[in-house]
Amino acid sequence: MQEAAVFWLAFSFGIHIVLVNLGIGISVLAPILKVLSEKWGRPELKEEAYRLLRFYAATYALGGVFGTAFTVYLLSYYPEFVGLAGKIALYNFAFAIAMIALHFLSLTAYYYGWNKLEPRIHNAFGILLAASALLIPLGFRSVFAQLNEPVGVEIQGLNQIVLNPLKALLGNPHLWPLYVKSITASLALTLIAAAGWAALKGRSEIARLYLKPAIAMLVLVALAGLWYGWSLRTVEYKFNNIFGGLGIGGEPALNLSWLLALKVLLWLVQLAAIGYALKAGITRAKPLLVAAAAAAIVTVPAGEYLNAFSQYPYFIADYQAILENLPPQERAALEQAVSLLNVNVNTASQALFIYTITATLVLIGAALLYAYTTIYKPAKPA
Amino acid sequence: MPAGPLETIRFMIEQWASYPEASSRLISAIGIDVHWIILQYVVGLPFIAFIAQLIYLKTRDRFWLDLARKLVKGFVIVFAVGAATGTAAEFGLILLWPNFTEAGGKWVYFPFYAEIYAFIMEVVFVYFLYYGWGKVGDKTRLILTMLVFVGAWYSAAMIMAVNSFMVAPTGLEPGWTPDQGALYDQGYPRISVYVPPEIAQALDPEKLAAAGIVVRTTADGLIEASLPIKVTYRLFWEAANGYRIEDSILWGLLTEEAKQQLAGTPVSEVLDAIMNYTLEVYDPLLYTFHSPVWLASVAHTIGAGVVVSAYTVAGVYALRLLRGGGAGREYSLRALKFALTFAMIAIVVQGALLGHEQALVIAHYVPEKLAAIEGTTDQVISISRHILLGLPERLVAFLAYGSFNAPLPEYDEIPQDYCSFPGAPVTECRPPILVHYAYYTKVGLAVALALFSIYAAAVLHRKGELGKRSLAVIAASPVMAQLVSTLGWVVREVGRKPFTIYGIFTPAEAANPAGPDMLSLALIGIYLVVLLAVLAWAVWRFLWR
Repeated sequence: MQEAAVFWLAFSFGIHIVLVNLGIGISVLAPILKVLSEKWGRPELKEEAYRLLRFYAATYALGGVFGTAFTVYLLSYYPEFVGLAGKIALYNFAFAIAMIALHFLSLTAYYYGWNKLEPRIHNAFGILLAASALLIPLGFRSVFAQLNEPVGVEIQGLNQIVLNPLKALLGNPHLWPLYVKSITASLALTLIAAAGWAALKGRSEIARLYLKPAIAMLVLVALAGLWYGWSLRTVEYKFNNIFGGLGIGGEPALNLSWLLALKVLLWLVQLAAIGYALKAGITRAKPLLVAAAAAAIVTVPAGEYLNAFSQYPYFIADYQAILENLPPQERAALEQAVSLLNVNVNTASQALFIYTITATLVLIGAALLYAYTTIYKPAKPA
Repeated sequence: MPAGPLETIRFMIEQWASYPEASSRLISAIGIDVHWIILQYVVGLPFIAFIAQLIYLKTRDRFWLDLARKLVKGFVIVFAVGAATGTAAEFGLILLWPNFTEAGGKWVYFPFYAEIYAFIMEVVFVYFLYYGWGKVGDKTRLILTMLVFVGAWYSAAMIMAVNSFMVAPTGLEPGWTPDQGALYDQGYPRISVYVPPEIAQALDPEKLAAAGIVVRTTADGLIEASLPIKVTYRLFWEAANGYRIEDSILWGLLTEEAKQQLAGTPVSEVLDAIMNYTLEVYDPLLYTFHSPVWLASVAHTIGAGVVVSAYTVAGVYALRLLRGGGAGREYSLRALKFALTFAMIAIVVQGALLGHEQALVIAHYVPEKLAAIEGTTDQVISISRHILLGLPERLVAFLAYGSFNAPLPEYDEIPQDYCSFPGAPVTECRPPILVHYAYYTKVGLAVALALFSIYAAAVLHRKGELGKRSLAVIAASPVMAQLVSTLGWVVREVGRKPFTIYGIFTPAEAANPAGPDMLSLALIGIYLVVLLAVLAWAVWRFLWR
């Protein structure tokens, strides 16, 4: 039962996070490409910006639905944790939602206002689109930082929780390295995926445009990764699980260093492919660029799984720190709430498992048919 | 003698504000209603597009296919808005009411869980339909459209299962019947649960009987306990507040031997055990669907979506005609004729059939709400009793109980404290009387809309044209239909107060103990309103004109 719960959480989050990262990247890239198109007088950049935006508009709800699926799985399998999370991460989530609302407004105005809004106003919505896309993860990453090591939270009892909103939102020592890493990773992913797609479609000039910024982002991701890893040394359990297998830190309880090594390998693949494309030209490097795009897509969930599973089986890696002042019985209740082993007993049903598997397979089949029809099938005569 | 207007207003406001967590309730109501405004199009538009395609398949007239295409395009836009407002509503629920989401996640999670697949189904098929429109055959397109509306209706059915459970939970026995009258002094309303044998052994039957708890053994040997909601509410309140058995009302129900063993056990553990066992008896996946008001609520909700969507389509084409219609005048007239006829049929079915079924189950299972809706009181100016001379009451008696002379539950005779106990955050257990005005406004507007639609549709079919005034009314009809629908939700949701889940949870137990203060909530409210205003302005100024 617990394996099923963790699997469905990982499955939905994996899809969600790839689409969300592409969304963040496109929200930044599209307005930049449009402005560059106007500045340099290159209309093909504007066409590319719209192409990217169209992809985002078409997958926005899909990314959203898998995010919702993740939340619902969490609610169903781990209701006690959801109750606790709502209390201790109130301001973090609230900030993220406020930015989601702003982002949706700017996306609607920017997408539907394309060639309709006055250029000055349209570009202003573009800035808003990029800014809100960059601010949504600030809220969500502050939640993740709190799941490493909560700050600005004082739990005095089951229903007595005191929050310091500013500290909880911005004062976590893991927030900034995690945030910078996330942003640079989403930009790297989008640049490489867009380069791969453009190369595949024979738009070599466009593909080339993405390569140097992609290298810059890959370097920044690596630096931010090191920064984040350094910040985790205060969360011993998690640090050891990530680095212990490499001989750094203590003995890991759950050795995930292989996942870190895989991430580094994928990073090298991307770097090598882009380097080759810059040297040998887009046409010759086309298969490698497509492989780099695939590697970039896999890198994102791999990183998320490394971050999440390195604190398994705890939702909050350093949960001891916030529970130390509680009386034993309340402490036991909250320890249950932060444990991934404490699955809702009412979900232990074979029928639920069969329902989930069947519905998922049917819908994946439908999604594949959809992709086949829209990408490969020619339009019928009217 | 009824109260005067000032007393009426004061009573309504004071009563509404007396229920716990007024500011959080208000912000939740705004968030959920914004989501609901959008959702109705998700429920209604693909169904209308489906009907238009059916007509196309029969007539092969391209007009119908083109109309369906336009409806699907509109649907795609609102669907994305719905996804965004849904995310906000979902997080709002988790942040403002974390104890409710925790309890919901434990016991009524399955409809939420199943709804995810409905949502994915909608996403996949709506994009399939939209982007694959010109690439698939007519019949495939029809099937895709059907899958989109089936996905939306399936989604509505799941969400309404949870909401219906909140209105009338599984195992509810009402506190008033037309035959026996008020049963509050006999411990009604009650909620039945199944008690695990190990807990049943720890309970003293005589003490249970003295506390008004009826214990029955079913044919299968299961122990069923019928608890007055004074008891259920108190137990959930104690669990939410970290009570142990030695401080709980359970202490007075235990055998002496059990007292020694269980004194320090948290009430929440006992409650979890009883609820989990009850779910096991019903089947955890089906428990929520046993709410007696579920099916009627689903039908009424889907009906609302179809009605609002139909009036919106009619409104859009009426607006076009008011602006002259241009080269597409004939097209707009045909579309208006179709949409208005559709809306007319939909609103009549919604009111006379689906609304009636909804009213029947509410009258039977939540008679306190019926009393509030009908305003059977002299504490305020009752529209039904003091303005319409009691005629609606007699009509409702006939519709609900089959006789014009059947009694209705009297609001003033419902004990104000029928759910309460010393120390409880709730002192007024009756639903707020303001739902009476919401309900009568809703019904008045709906009847006016239906009558006007019949008139306008008849004129349109006979003369083929409509005057400017009629067109203006139809152009305004989407707003009226949305208002009717929103008032329906006000009756349903506000009318459930003081409870979040009837007989179990009030907003006081559901709320976030670290929740935002009034200022933060006001700022959030202003922020959302400003965003919506900017969006509306951008659409109007740059996209629509």
